[in-house]
Amino acid sequence: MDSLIIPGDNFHVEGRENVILGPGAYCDPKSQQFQPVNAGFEVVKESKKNVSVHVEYNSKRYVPAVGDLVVGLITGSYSDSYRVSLESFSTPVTLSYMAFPNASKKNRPTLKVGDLVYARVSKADKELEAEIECVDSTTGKDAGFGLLEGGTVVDVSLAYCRELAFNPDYALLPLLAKTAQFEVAIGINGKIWIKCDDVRHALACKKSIVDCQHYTPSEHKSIITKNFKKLLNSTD
Amino acid sequence: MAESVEIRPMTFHREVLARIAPDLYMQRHLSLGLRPSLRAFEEFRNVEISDGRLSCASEDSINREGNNILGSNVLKCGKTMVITSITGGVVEENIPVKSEENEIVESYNETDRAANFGQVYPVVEVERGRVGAPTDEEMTLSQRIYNCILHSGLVPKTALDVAVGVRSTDAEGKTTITYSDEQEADGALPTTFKFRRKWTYTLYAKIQVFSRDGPLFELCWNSLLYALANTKIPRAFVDERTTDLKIPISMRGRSAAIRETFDIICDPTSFLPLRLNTSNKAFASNFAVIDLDPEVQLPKDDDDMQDSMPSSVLLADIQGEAEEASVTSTISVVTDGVGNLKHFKAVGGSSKITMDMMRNSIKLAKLRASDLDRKC
Amino acid sequence: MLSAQTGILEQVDGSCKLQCGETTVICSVTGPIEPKARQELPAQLALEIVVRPCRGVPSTREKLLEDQVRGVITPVLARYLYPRQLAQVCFQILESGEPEENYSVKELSACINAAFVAIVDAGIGLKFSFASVPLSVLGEDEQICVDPSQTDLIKSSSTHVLALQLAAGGQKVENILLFESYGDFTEKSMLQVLQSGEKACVETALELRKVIQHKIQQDFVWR
Repeated sequence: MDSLIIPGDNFHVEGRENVILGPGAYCDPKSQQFQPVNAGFEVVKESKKNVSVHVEYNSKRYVPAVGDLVVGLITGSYSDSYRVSLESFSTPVTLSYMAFPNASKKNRPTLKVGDLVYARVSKADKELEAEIECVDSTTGKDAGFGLLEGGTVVDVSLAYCRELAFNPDYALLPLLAKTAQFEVAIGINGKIWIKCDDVRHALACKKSIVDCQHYTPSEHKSIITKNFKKLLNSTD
Repeated sequence: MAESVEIRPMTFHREVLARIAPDLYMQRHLSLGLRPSLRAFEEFRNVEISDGRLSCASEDSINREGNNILGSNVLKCGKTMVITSITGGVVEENIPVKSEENEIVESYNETDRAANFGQVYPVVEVERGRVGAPTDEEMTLSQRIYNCILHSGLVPKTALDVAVGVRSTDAEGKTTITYSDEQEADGALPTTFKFRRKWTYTLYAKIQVFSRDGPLFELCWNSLLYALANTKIPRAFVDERTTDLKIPISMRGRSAAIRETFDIICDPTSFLPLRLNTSNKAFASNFAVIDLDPEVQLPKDDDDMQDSMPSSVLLADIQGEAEEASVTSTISVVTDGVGNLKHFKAVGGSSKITMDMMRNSIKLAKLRASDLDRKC
Repeated sequence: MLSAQTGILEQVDGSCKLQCGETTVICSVTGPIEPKARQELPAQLALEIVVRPCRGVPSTREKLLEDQVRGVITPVLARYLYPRQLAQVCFQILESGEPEENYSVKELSACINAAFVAIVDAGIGLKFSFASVPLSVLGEDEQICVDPSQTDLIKSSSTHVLALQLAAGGQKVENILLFESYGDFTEKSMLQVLQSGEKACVETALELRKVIQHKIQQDFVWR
């Protein structure tokens, strides 16, 4: 169990050298002191060379960070790039036409305004517009990114999204898979795309995912059964 | 073929540096023991005041005709000019029906302090050569001055009561105006009229600022105070024939009496000074706390080596763009010469406001207040 | 005395409903979002603050409140983390708890406390904790009243609002963010007010800390 920390507290890494700061940790440019800027759990990870520290906190608004897998909405297209929204009212990010597999000057991607894409954040400087890519830039090959056809998007909190994506022991999606067949793409920006053949299944999945973020894993099963029962019993 | 790269320090003209790096400009000055305004740290600017002869009650008024200004002040401080003009109106107060026949009892209200004080409604206009909706600065300034006047108790509510006179016309067509408080002296005047209504003056202050050059609250406040001190309110009267008209009417068998509305007229020749509660008269001064940045200090000569530079300093009377832009911690004090404070505001930005700083600022503000009081 | 709920509004990034004695406010925070061109600051986070009164339309009184709240939260936000971005902070007063035409101390202090919780809820970077209390000085014997009731407030000879920047778990006072006084007082009574206000602020900060702890536990319900 990590300890709770809120802004104004001190990290428990005093007197250490080679401290690496993660999300939620801020180094004051003048005094060079580390301080937490968000409220959550303090996570200190030690390795041989250094110690890393970050704050595990929940929020609703996504701020791009390199390497994140995100679900974005195409809101505009220019001569050489798309404009993609990862979060309503946030600054949009760019998706270059060259950031697709087998891209060339002649070979243009065929996405339209209103399409959903699954992509990876490739550049995220806070002073500049962030960029995303639909290709694994190390191999130049397709890596499961690209257009998400059909389906629906669920908006959830960011911490819940990370839990779903990164914790293999978190049993919600396997539980859902037992009751319904679906395709899923988890965007770290708080958007989960799901697609079912049956609309009623899709609705039940969506509702279950939204509901479960406020309950402990032990209650998930009953929530899922309840949601499915309600929707499957309803008549068209 | 290695080309040598020459690095030359960039130099800027004084005004340019002040604009692009006010922080550095400020720190460089401070390290010399001076401020960008070339004053010492705790030195105030001189203030020139005059009433501008704008008021219609003023003896040497420049325009008496059609003038409705009751008090005025022109305050010059540095290049900033503040013009305050006080105007007024008369409003009828709502009195509960029951007390209509009785004498309206005026006594100090123990349970609601603010109810004992009159208000002045200020409107601050910072002139910058454009028209349009008031800026946030103007609105917050006006509201702050309003709050300050109300809670300081400078204007007692009773000072705004109208002592209504009566204009009577005798048989020869000669009109005289009698006021209740002048009667006792004469003694031989006709029956006193008992008014069943109550009127009060309402004062408005229009504060215009030209050439803004730093924080304005203190300048506006001081100017308003000077203006209120020379404000004279006109006497008001009603015509004898209309003092207490009751017109019986009957409508669908029911009879009632309506009272004729009558005009209350302000006397253009007779004025009374506004009775301020002088014990609550306090003047405003502002201060800033700024940290000294040891990295940008100019190198010191060996002979005036100071070992213990303070980490932060208190500056009095902020002036100019460079000073205003680089200070984040400010203190504003409204006090009289002996330490009766009326308003205090400390805003701590990045520099720490210590107890000593606050004490010191109050001490300086008291000196400043007694100085300003003498100019009244 | 003080109670608060977080996350009560669905459509914004952070929200808080805070009740403090007779005063209740809702605060919402949205950001960092894309600003309008005129709001944008090249190197730091811009702030838009809106105060809505509990009845009627906003007036200069609310403008002054906005200005005061801005003065308090600007220095504690980690503004340089979000260049060219905007944060909107909106307040809706639900219950004023004081005669609005003459006073605004209780609303101001409730707004400041609500803003702290709502900003934390939104996940916008804060460098320090802060907390605020209204105070008044009553009667001849200069009795200091922390968080005065409406009847005490209008009787009192001076009213004060204190907001402090706190560190080290809300125990250490770092700086005075706002100390504003109106009325009739002396240097001595003001410094006494400051002293008892400091104590009350630390207590308030502890209460707010509990609210935030509860929020974090709710956020990470799977832990």
